[in-house]
Amino acid sequence: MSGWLRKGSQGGVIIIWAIGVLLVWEAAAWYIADVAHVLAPASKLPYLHLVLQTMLDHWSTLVEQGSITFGNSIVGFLIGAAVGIILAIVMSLSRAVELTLSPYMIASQMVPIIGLAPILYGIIHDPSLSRVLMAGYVTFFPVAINMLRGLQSIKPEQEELMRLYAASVWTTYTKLRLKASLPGLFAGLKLSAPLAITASIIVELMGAPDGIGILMLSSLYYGSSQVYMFWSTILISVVIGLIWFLLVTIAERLITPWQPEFRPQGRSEG
Amino acid sequence: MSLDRQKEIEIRIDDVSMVFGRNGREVTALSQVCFEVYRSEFVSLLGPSGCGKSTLLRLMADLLEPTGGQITIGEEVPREVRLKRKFGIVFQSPTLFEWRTVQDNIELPMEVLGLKKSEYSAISNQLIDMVGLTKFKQYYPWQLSGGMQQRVAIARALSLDPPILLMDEPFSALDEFTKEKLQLDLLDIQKQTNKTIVFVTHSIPEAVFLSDRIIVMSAHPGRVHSILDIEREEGSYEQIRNSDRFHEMTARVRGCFNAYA
Repeated sequence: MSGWLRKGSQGGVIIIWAIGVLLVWEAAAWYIADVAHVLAPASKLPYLHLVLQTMLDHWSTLVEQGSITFGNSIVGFLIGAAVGIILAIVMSLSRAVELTLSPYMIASQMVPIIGLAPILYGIIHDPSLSRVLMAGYVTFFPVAINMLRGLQSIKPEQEELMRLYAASVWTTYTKLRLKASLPGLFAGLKLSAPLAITASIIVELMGAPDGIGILMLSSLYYGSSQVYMFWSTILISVVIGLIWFLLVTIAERLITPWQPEFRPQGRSEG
Repeated sequence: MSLDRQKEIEIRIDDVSMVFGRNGREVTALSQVCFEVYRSEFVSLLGPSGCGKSTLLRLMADLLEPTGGQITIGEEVPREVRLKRKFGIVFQSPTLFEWRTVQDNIELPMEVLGLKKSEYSAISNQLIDMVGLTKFKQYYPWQLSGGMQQRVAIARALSLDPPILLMDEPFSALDEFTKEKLQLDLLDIQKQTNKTIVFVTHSIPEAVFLSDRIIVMSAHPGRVHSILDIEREEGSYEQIRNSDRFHEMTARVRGCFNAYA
C-alpha cells in the first residue's frame, strides 16, 4: 500500500513542505504588518518576497561574503572530520589511549564556543584561520565519538569468524571494523555539518573583518532599513547549511548503501 | 550408521580442561574432557547451559586455548588446522556482515584467503544455489528472514570446502518449521560432502535426529557424562520422528540427564 507513497513521497513531501512554509511565512508577515499593525513589522517578520528582492539586488555582495564564510567553514569541517576520524581510529586501537584522551575531548566540548571564538581570534588575529579552526573544533568531537562507537559496535562472533579464517590484523580492521564504523561516521558528519557553519559565523560576530556574519551584524546595527539584508543573510546561511547536509547525505548513500533506510524493498519472506 | 564404517579418528580431545578467570575467582568450564570424533561423523555435544559445550567447540577451532590437556586434529594442533583454514563455523546468530550482500558474505572466507573474484564467484554461485537463495544473492542481510540468514552462514562456512564443520546451536533461534527444513538440508549436505560435523545443541530431539553419536555433557564443571551411539534410520522426517526407535533414543538420552539432575 505504501509503495507509491514511499517512492513518490521524498520529492513530493519536500515540495509541499517548501510551499507550505512560503505560504505560512507570507501570511504571517501580512498578518503582522497589515492586520495586527505591529510597530516596525519588517523587523519581526518581513515579507518573504521583499527579502528575496533584496537578495537579488545585493547578490554579488552576499555571494562574496558568503563564500568567504562557507569556504572557511568547509575547510574547517574537512580538517575537523579528518582529525575526528584519526582520533576514533587511534582510540579504537588502544583502550589506554581512549581512557587518556576522552576526558580532554569531553572537556573541550564544555568550553562555550561563543567564549572561545574571541579568545582564539585575539591570539591568532587571522579571520580565515580562526574560522577554519573553530569549524574544525566543533566538527571533530561528534565525528570522533560516533565513529568510535561504530568501530566498537562489532559482535564478538564477527571477530571470531575473522580469526577462524586466519585474517590478518589489517584485514580484520579494514574489512570488519572500519566498515562497521561508517554509519556512525556519517551520523557524526551530519551532526557537525551545520555546527561548522554556525561556528564560523560566531567567529565573525566576535570581531572578524569580513564574512556573512559581518553582514548580519552590520545590518542589525543599521536597524529597520537593513532588515531585509539581515534576513537575506539568515536565508543564505540556512540554504548553504542544507546544501552541505544534503551533500553529506548523498555521500552516505553512495558509501553505505546497505543501511536499511536507503533501501526501497521491504523484508522478504521465507 | 553402518558398523562397517571405517573409524578413522579426526579429532581427539585428550583430558581437556578449561578454567576462566584468575585471582581466586575462577570458573571451571570444562574438567578433564576426553572423547574422539571420527572422520565424516556427525557428533552432537548435548547438555544444559553451563556445561561448556560452546567452549569446547571454540577450543577445537583454536578460538580459545585450553588450560589443560590437548586437542589433536589429524596429526596437528588446532592452530595449524585453523591456519590452513580447515574449519567452517556456524554460530547461533548468523553473524553476517551487514554491509555485504548474500553473495559477498559467502565469498568472505575466500576473499580473506586472497583468492581472486574470478576464481571464487563460480563457487559462491554454486553454494547460493545449494542453499536455495539464487533469487536473493544481491540482497543485504536485513532483507532476509532469520532462516535465510542462517542459510547464508552455512553456505559461508562451506565456501572453502573445509573437512570439519563446527556448529554452535545454529538452529536454536529459528522457528520450528525453518528448523526442520534446515536440519534436513544439513543432513543432505553431510551426505553429499562427507564432512565431519561437530554440532552443539541443547535440544534432545535435534541431537537424536541429526547425530551418529551424542556426547552428553553435565554442567558445573563441564564434563562428559556419557557417549551414546545413535542408529540413524532412513525415512521421511515424520516417519523418523514418530518411530518407536526415535522415542526410545530420546528417552534414553533424557535418562542420562535425570540421572544427575
